[in-house]
Order: sequence, then C-alpha cells, then structure tokens
Amino acid sequence: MLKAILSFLVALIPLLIRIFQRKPALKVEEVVGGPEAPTYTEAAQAQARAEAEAKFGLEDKAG
Amino acid sequence: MRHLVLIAVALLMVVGTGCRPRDIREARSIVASAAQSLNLADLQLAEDYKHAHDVCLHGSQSRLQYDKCIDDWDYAANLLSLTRLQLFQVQYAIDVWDATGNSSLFKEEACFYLEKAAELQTLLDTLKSEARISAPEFQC
Repeated sequence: MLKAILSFLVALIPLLIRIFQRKPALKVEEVVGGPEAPTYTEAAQAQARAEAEAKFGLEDKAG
Repeated sequence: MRHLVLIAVALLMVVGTGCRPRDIREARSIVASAAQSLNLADLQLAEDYKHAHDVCLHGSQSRLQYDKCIDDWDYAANLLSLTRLQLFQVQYAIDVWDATGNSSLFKEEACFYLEKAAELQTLLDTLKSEARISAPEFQC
C-alpha cells in the first residue's frame, strides 16, 4: 500500500515540475512599452523633423 | 481508495493545464512573439529612417522637396505605430475571450493585425528597408 502511494507520488513529480515552471507569456506593454509610448521610429521622426526645421524652417502650409 | 486516487489524478491534471483552454495560452504566446518581432522591426526601421532622412536632407533644396522625399518613410512610420496599437487590441480581445469564452472579437482583431502587418511589410520591402515582421499564425 505504502509502496503504491509512493510510486504514485514519484510519478507526479514531472507534472509538478511542469506546473511550477510554467511562466506566463509577456504582455505587449512589457515588450514595446505602453500604447502611449513613442516607437523608436517616431523618436527618429521627431529628431529628423527638428533637423529639417533647423535647415529649411517650418513646414510649408498646403497651398 | 482507488476512486480517491483517480479523482486526485484528475484534479491534478486540471490544475496542470491551468483550467483554461489551451488556445488562449497559445494566443498570448503568439502575441508576445509578435510584439518582439514588431519591436525589432521598429529598431531597424528607425535606423533606416535616419539614413533616409540624411539622404533627403542633404539632397533637398527646400522644405517642400524634403517633405516629398521623406513622405513614404513617414507613411511607414505611421503604419508601424498603427500596427503596434492594433497588437494591444489583439491582447485586449484575448482578455475578453478569457473572461467570456467567446473568441470572435479575438479573431476579428487578430485578422486586422495580420492585414496591417502585411501592408507594412510590403511597404518596407518597397522602401528596401531591412526591417522584417514575422506573421503570427492566426486563422483568418
């Protein structure tokens, strides 16, 4: 009887390891920042616009 | 005693699977991978954008000329931002699926994400950007 219980418990070990090791998937905000955070490309755009303004002045209005 | 053992095994199996449909876990995992792919594409596009800006800035005689030169890259930047926002919508739709058991919003948002990601990749290829977006496996 004791042997049967012990065998059962030993057989459960891999399942228990799997249960405790499972990590939840990363959230989108953990990878790319919150929805309000600028993208790397938006930051590059902002820098580019500043340089263009410095060289040419403000954007031409649509005529 | 035998019945108790069987019940214990069944309970442990339920706990082991997290009491959730396997699909939701997979969906969350796929969205996390898509976010990582998009993040890498964003990094690459930012570099490509800076290079394009340098070319346009030095090659243009007026602001109008510069704006025309950089216009496609600006469109790509805006499209990447929209695609990223759409991924948040997909994540929200998974939360709704998890809470209600109804996956229809998830399917709708996931398919729209795929559409935007494909449009963005096509544009990046046209611009000869090195950025790559891996397409997650959603059934549309």
